[in-house]
Amino acid sequence: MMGRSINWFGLSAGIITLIVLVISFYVPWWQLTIGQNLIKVNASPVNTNFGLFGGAQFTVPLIWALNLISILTFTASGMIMLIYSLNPTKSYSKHLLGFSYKKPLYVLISFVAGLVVIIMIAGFLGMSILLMGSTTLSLPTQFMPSGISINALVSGSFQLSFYLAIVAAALCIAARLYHKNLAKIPKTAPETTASPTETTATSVSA
Amino acid sequence: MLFPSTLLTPLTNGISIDNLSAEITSADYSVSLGNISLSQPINIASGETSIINVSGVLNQNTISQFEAQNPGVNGINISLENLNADVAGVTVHMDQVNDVGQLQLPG
Repeated sequence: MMGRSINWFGLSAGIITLIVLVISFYVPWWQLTIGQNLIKVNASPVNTNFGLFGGAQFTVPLIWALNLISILTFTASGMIMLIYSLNPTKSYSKHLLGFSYKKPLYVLISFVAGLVVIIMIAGFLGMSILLMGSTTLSLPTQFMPSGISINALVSGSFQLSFYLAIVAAALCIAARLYHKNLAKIPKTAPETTASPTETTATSVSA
Repeated sequence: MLFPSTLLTPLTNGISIDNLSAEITSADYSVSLGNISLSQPINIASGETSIINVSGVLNQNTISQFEAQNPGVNGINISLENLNADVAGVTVHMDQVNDVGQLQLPG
């Protein structure tokens, strides 16, 4: 009897992708803190918001719309990866895999690229911000009234959900690679048929 | 000498003032009168009022000279120079804050 073939990498990837989606609502991928929690930037593809004075939080409509796209992308990717993983040898499986395995990676790359671009723009404006670590940020003098300078301790750090997203993306790629092995397995395993042994009963009549 | 100031924070979170210092000058004559600083860091809880005690040292010679040159004047209009404040991890420096009040002279 043959066991049902499952792409375990895909199954893990699907589950972790959905876990990342849920966690990202509460834990940002990257957090920037200015001062002693005076201003907080909680950035993730799913939920990006800005916290002021440790309390009020707000977001920007454009970012909210982008977050919504990421939520749908993550949900679709995770669900379809799960469906694929449980049926990896079906005729339609490759299409499901092709759709789902790239999405977490694309979201991850887009997020990091977006952060790098924002930090480069900040650097171009004379504000040094680190992706990871702490530094003292000085507001550019051209934006300040004469005779006033403002410096603030700024620290940036990637959070647990970001690393979990990397794991999800890596497992998605592993699922794609492992699919090649599954594809080699014949879709219908040949049945082992025992050679029939014919027994002839001979009746002996006395 | 103490300069108590009342500060109400409307914030939903507490705020800490770790440092506050400035040089007191006469607004009219730009003469240094002394300096002020925060005695100790303070933490103001959300929605609460706090009295900030700022201790200062005045240059008595300068004030006596001012009184001698301006008889009958009850107070000196003061400005602050080199004001440094560290509020919730953000350091603000202002070269000058004009006309912050009047220093009453012991008449």
